[in-house]
Order: sequence, then structure tokens, then C-alpha cells
Amino acid sequence: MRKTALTVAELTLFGMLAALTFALKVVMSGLPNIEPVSLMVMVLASVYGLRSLFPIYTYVLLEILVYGIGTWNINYLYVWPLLAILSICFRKMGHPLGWAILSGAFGLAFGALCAPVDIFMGGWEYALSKWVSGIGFDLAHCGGNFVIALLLFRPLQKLMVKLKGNLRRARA
Amino acid sequence: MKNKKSLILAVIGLVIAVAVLITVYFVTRPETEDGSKAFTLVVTHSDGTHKTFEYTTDAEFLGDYLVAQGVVEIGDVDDGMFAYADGEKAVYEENGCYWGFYVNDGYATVGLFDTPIEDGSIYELRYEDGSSWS
Repeated sequence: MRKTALTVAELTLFGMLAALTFALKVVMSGLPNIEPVSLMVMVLASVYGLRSLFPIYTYVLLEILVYGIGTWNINYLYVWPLLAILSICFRKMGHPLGWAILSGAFGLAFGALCAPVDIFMGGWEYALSKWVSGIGFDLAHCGGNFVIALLLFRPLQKLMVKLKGNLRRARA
Repeated sequence: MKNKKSLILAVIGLVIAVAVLITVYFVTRPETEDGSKAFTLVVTHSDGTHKTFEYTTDAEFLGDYLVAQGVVEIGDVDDGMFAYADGEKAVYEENGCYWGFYVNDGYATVGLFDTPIEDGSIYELRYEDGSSWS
């Protein structure tokens, strides 16, 4: 099948979804390490495949524009796409528990995933101490991600599939 | 059937990973000391000057004690953070600078307010410029 460039409808939708992801994160920012971004990335990737990288990187750009430059920018450039790629690999997974486990495991590993940048910035001792001191946050991240995905992944995915179908019909 | 088996294995794997991290968290978490403890606090300011404070106390945690002594002020920052040390302000969101926290010359593994006071320790609050990372 020939790959096509983004349509205007997709551009618009992906922009809106990136903005929605960012807004949801801001709304939930009062809850430490409880975030809807993992859920959104998994839903988008499972439905749109590699094209989901457009809204994901748009979301990352929004984060950088609002919160400024820092080492976390580098983390975001590979951590979210990694979750997207894992979600694409598991896109045939039907059971919501499976997605909850993926999301929970991602939350648990988040601190470790950010460590390579810390190793580069301050050495392995700095990276290790930072990871260890953040374990409490990683545990909260795991629990929050697990529950959110268990409850909301399937309904959101169904909605996204419906949205994708509407777009295709609009183009036809 | 195969899918169910994979799910069960995945759940077990996640539970084991959580258990391991919880263990690491509790094993590495420093414990408080009873009784009177003497320690040194060094504040290294943005101009490179050092100011040394000597304390003796029964208090358990460093952050709360230093706030009570007036050498650290929390200011308008997130929970667990602080803005002022010895009167000088460093807030990353404002100027890209922050107070690095060191214990006996090594970078601290927990925050100031979670650090128990240990007899004979040297704590340092060092003004650090993170804006150069941009």
C-alpha cells in the first residue's frame, strides 16, 4: 500500500489530540506522577501505528514550549516514542489487563528510562542516586498508570477507532 | 488459553518488579538517629563564597530543622523543595538555578526534608546553575 502524506483532516486531528494530551496532563498535574499521557500514547499508537508519532512529538513540543529547556527534553524525545513502539507491537492485544500491565510497567521503569541522560550529564553515581531517590515516584506512576489504563484504555480506543473511521468516510 | 497464560505471567512479572523496587526503596532509605547529634552545614553561594554553620540537636530530619533555624526558607515552590539558603534565592523555574544538596561530599540520594540528621555529617547546599544546559 502506498504511504500517503498527512491529510488536512489528520493534521487537524493530530494537533487537537496533542493539545488534549497536554491539557489533560496539566489538569492532573496536582497528582504527583499520575498522568494520562501514557494512556493517550498507547491509545494513539494502537490505532494509528507509526503515524501516532506526529501527535506524540507535537505533545513533546508543547511541553518544551511551555516548560522550557532542560535535560528532561531529551528524555521525552525517546521515552514516549518507546511506549508508542511497544504499543504498536502489542496492538493486537485485546484484554484491557494486558494494556494496564504495559502501562504500569512503563510507569515503573520511567525513572530507569531517564537514567541514560543522567549518566551522560553527571556520571553513573549521580544517575543511580537520582533513580533510587525517585523510586517512590515510580511506584506511584506504576499504580496510577495501571488503574487508568485498566479503566479507560478500551473505551478510549473504541472512540479513537470510530474517529479514524469517520475521517476515512469523510475523505471517500 | 495461551493469552490467559501470558497475562498471568505478565501480572506476576509486574508484581515481582514492584516488590523488588519497594525492597530497594526501604533498604536504601536512611534511618533516623536518636539522641543529640552534631553536624556541619556549608552553604556555597553563587559567588563561590562559603558559609559554615555548626549545629547540635535532637531533631530527626535535616530540612525541618534548618527551616526552624532560619537558614533555609521554603518560599513559593513545590512540596519538598526550597527556594532560599542563607538568604540567597535559587528557583529553577525562575532563573535556571537551584540548590544542589550534598552529604559528606557526595550528591544526596534523598531530598533535604527526607534526610535524617546523622552525627558527624557534613551537609552542603551548593548554588548550581542549570541554565547552562540549554
